[in-house]
Amino acid sequence: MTKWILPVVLAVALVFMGLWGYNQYQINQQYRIHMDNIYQKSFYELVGNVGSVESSLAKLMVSGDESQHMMLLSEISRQADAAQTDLGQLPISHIALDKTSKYLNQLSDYSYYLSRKVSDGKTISVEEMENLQKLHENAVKLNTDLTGLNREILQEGSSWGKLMQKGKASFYEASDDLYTKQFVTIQKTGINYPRLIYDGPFSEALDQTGGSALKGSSITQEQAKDIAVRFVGNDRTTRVENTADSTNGLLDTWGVNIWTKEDPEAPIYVAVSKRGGKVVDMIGQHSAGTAKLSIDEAMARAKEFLEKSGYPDMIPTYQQKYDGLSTINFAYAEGDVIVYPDLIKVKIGLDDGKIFGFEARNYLIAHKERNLGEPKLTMEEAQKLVNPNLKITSSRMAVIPTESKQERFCYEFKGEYGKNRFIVYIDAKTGEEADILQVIDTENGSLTM
Amino acid sequence: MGHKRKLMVLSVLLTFFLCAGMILESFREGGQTAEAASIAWGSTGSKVSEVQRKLKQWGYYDGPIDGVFGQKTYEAVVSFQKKNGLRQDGAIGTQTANALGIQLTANAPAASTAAQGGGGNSNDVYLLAKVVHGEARGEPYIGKVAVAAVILNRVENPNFPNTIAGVIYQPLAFTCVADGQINLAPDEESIRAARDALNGWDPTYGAIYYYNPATATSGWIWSRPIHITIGKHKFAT
Repeated sequence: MTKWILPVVLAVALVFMGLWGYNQYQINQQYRIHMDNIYQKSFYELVGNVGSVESSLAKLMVSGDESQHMMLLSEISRQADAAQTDLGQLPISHIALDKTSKYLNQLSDYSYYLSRKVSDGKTISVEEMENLQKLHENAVKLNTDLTGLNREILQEGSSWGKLMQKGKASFYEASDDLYTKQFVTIQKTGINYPRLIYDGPFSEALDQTGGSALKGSSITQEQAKDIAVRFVGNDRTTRVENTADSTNGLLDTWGVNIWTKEDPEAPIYVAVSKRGGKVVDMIGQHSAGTAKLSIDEAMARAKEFLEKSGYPDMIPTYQQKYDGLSTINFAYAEGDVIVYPDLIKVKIGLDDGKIFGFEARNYLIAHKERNLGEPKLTMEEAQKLVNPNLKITSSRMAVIPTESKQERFCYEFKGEYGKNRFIVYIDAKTGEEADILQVIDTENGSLTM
Repeated sequence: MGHKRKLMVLSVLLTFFLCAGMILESFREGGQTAEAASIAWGSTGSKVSEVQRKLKQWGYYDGPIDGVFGQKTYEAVVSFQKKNGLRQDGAIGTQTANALGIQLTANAPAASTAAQGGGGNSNDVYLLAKVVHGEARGEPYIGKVAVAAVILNRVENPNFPNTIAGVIYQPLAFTCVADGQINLAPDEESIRAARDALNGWDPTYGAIYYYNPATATSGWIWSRPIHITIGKHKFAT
């Protein structure tokens, strides 16, 4: 009897193993097919969108009508953007894709810029037409290469492994002579992200080329240390250490870590510009205790700090409150006019009013003597140009940054429509609506979009 | 003879339990079983309201009872967990639910984004924080802000996708996305770092790549100009 037990049990075990293995294999196959399908879809859509772009560009070459131009340009912008999104979903190393991505992205930005130009009543210049022609030639080549690749994959059967291998080589070849010159400085993100007014990582004000407030002699790392300690506060500092040397060609800085009495574990990082010795960034965190200051008190303290640090005439615009800290956005005020490109952010603890964050890159790059001149419209005239749906609650003058990194002198009207708050900017010289922002109120503060 | 028999019985039982375990495991993975899902940031629904009500009663929460699990609710849950010696992850798993005295039902509503009120950029912050947590755990705070800033710089850069999610989920871009570590709950520091980056702090001055020189395998990345070195990572364009 016992002689039978072992082989029977082992046989049963074998059967179980087989079942399990088969189940695993099935699940695996399902995932593979699912992934395959997603990559296939992205690739097909990419080919489709590039084809549409090519065709729209071709039509643009032969159309003489301005409203056609506008329509075609917005189509091109949209389709090139969609193509770029599809491209980003392919399982191909981005090194092979980056030139194609750049081409599509810049084509999208350029068409967007031109469509706005046309909608403003201006015409496409001869030079711009030549650029579009070049871009069209590129689109033709890209389209041919992609449809070729598509056909190969269809014929030989699909699998993303194949797509990866073939695709990589194909894209290197296809993108070899794509024209990737940047025509305009507009860089649109696909989705609008809410942020502090005209600030944030996609800030239009940031031109990144040099800084007008950063003049003066170069400073050494030792000098940077002293400047950083003085900025944070001598009495708060327990330890200082040099930590970074950033030579990036845009804003070279010395980085210093400073440990404070309040946070002996976590240092505050301070970056001091090599030219001019100005504090560019201060990045720290703080586990705050109970919040004792009100937002207004926090704003007043932050303003005091700015004045003490050599930035008078700054007024607070928006703020966000989290974790017992408040991030407050300040803009420079030239008399009655609030100048948004000159921005400074301060992060202040609501428990004891100490500063844990500071960022002045926008200000240091954009701040300059401005001769604004007189507005051509009065406030009342500008107000009449605002859509009557908006119930206006306040108004003043402002300088705002534009998408193409220029500046515009405007009247700023804040108002309400339904449950939402909006800000409308009317150009003070031309009366055009320069920008419109929606205010997003959250329990932690307000952002604009 | 007896010794050999005992060995045989032992090995039979062992094999049996191994098989049974594997079968059960595979069914769990392959099928759609109803698990008691935990409630965390991003969840909405009546369970969230219940949690908020309880926490308000006991003084941990002072926000609105709106059924939306956002920043304030997260902080309240963390305080509650701290006071009760639970793991402070800001999510309501079985232990926290028991401590609160609520039942987690199977198939709790999937994390959906709040339409009213709790909008702003809290979802972007959370997604960014997940990647920061996956990529820069153990790095100093400034290193975390730097990683978040690189992601945002890529969004703006024409070589990369145009949205935050597009950049993060681009195939082959981030290791923590490929190996699933992005799905861990981010810690407080990562969330703060993500928020600072979304508010515009960028210690890398526009860098779009970062790598750990000790582990980088791609030869190509070494040729990129470096902006700054923070902790274990070099940041480059």
